[in-house]
Amino acid sequence: MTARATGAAKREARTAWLFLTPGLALFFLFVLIPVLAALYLSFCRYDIIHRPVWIGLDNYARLGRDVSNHGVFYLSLRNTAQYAIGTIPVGMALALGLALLVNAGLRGVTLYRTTYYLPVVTSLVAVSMVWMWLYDPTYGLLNYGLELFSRALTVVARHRVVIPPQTWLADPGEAMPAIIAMSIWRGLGYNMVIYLAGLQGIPDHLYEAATIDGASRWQQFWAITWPLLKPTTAFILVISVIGASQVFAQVYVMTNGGPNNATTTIVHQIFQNAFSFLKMGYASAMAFVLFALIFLLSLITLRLTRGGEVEYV
Amino acid sequence: MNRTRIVVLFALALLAAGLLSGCTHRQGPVELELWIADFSSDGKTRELLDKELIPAFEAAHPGVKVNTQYIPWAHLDEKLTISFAGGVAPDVFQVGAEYVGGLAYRGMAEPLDDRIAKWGAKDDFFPASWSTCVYRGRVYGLPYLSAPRVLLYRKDLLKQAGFDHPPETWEELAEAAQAMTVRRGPVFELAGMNLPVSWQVFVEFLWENGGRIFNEEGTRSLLDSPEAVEALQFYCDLYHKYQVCPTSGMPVAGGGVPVFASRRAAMEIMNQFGIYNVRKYAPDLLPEVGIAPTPKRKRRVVSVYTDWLAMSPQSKHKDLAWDLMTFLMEPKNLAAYNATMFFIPPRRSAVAAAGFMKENPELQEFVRLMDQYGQSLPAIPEWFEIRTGLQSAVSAAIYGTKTPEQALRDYSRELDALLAERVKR
Repeated sequence: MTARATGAAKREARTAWLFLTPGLALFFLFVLIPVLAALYLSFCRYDIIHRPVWIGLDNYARLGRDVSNHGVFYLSLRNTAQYAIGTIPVGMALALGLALLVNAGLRGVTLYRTTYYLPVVTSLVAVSMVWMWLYDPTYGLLNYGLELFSRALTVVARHRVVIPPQTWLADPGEAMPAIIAMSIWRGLGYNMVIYLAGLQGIPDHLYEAATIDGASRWQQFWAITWPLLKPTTAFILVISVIGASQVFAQVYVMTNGGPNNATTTIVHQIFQNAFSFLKMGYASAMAFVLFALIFLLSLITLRLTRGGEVEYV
Repeated sequence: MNRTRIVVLFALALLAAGLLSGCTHRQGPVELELWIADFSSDGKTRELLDKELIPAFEAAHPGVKVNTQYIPWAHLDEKLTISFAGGVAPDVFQVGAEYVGGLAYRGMAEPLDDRIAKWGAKDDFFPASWSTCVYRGRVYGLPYLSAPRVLLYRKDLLKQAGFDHPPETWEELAEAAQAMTVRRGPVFELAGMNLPVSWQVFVEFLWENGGRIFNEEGTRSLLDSPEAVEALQFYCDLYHKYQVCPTSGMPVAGGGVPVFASRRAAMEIMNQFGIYNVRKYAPDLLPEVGIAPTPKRKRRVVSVYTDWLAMSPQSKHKDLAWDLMTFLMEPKNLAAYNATMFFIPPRRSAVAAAGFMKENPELQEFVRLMDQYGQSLPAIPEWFEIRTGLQSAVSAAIYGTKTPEQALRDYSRELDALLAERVKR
């Protein structure tokens, strides 16, 4: 290597660093340092106003006690799991179904795509407020629908059928399913677009060949579409697991964790402890438990979806 | 190369200019910062403060400028905490009925006893409102608005059901509520008593039964007492035994008409907004609305929620801040402020000065009951956490996941642990 070349490489490296510095500075300042600070705080008692006091593993021990006593943090773990199980499989199946429909070359595809994507780009808080109106026990569209339905049944069955109006978000049994339904609707467009991209990456000639071989649509789906979409599915699954673990805004807006703690989630607990109770240390400990959980779940999901990649040439 | 150097120099110059401008001290009027959390949505409160009260204060204090900020409740805690941590807290700020313990304990409110002693207006305030600003014998603020919770009832329905007076005891409450409830299958058409699942209601029953949440010193839970268990049992009985209201509460109209004003409840425990709602949505119902103290068990209690003004210990102009506080507390200013939001002025002379109190004779009854039976929440640093725990315990009992006794015993143990943490320090 000549001296000249080394000089050029050095200059290039310098330029690279120059361009990287703003991004890195922001990353250090607003991501890495706060994360490390939170890690430190998770071993402290800290109310923002006074200096943090080191208390070792107390916060983590308290979380352990809470879980073994089935306390509020335990409930938040349970509810978050419920939310994940409720939203992810159904949400993904619906998204794939929609993507297949949209990809089938219907007329007005752009319109459908936009319509399904609209909720994704709408503010989650605004969406939550709209759904609160739908769920409103007195004037909500849902209960109105139930009433119409019972009237229709009455006509058909020729005796009075009453489906009592539901209180939805005010009922401990219905609140979480209500939030789940809204969240599936809201996330549908995003997953659909990803699936759509995946579908469009599958070459047409595979389907042509399969058609010539006499494969039915159903067979084509299982032999071509599904295996070739596997990386897409894995991606959506990982993103969804992470997203579900961090669910917060809709809970905060629609139920604030109630009724009877039926909808409180991990991040809702973190928020409440940090900003309502000023227990920054305890909240930070929760945040790191959540971090560990997400890390583990992501690893498991990746492991489960890895391997068996199919490539047709 | 040359160009790079120019860019770097330029960037440095910009940075330096930015740093320098941050360092210069502006010479100008003394500035006071005032944060208001209770303001009407129709803009009347802001208009009053921005166009009348604050200009009047500034005119009386040449060289002083007041920056008034209107902070919605949802953001108040966050903003207060951060501004205190950053050393830029507002000189005067408004907080709610549940704040004094936390603020005093964290050094976020200035004790005002000496100033108040010189001021001499203390006895003009209603005792329950005043006690909202007191923690461990010291006063940390001045009451700005009050909201007493009383029993509202429908005279016509009560009479139809065969009662000649509003319920005075728990037994009478249950009996009257049961008699007035109308149900069609599982659906409530008229709730005998509109009851939300709320720690607030439980605390009222608890007080009426002679119980308390924790001891005087705030070091030990008293929620496992027989008085507490009885109170929660009665609360649950209203739902399950007497069945006067669904556990999910009577459906509330989204942005529409509240339950009592929409004639879907015969009674409720509510502050003066109950009257406001009836006036607004069903004015013809007003003659049929009775106001009574909440029914008693061992004692009669009207719970009072008061928002107040605090002064920051970080303020550099405490004398001026105090002047601003007392200016806003002047009877006619206090009356004008409360009039914008239909709250009760916490000061006798302000009640007397308030035109809207005369136009709404019902409000005089609220004042009388508040004066006679008023009680405010006890002050304790951990209140917000206690409130959340209390809500969990109350809802566990009402939704039947635990018995009242179990729910209170479990939470009592938790509360003891929470209080012990502070005592340990």
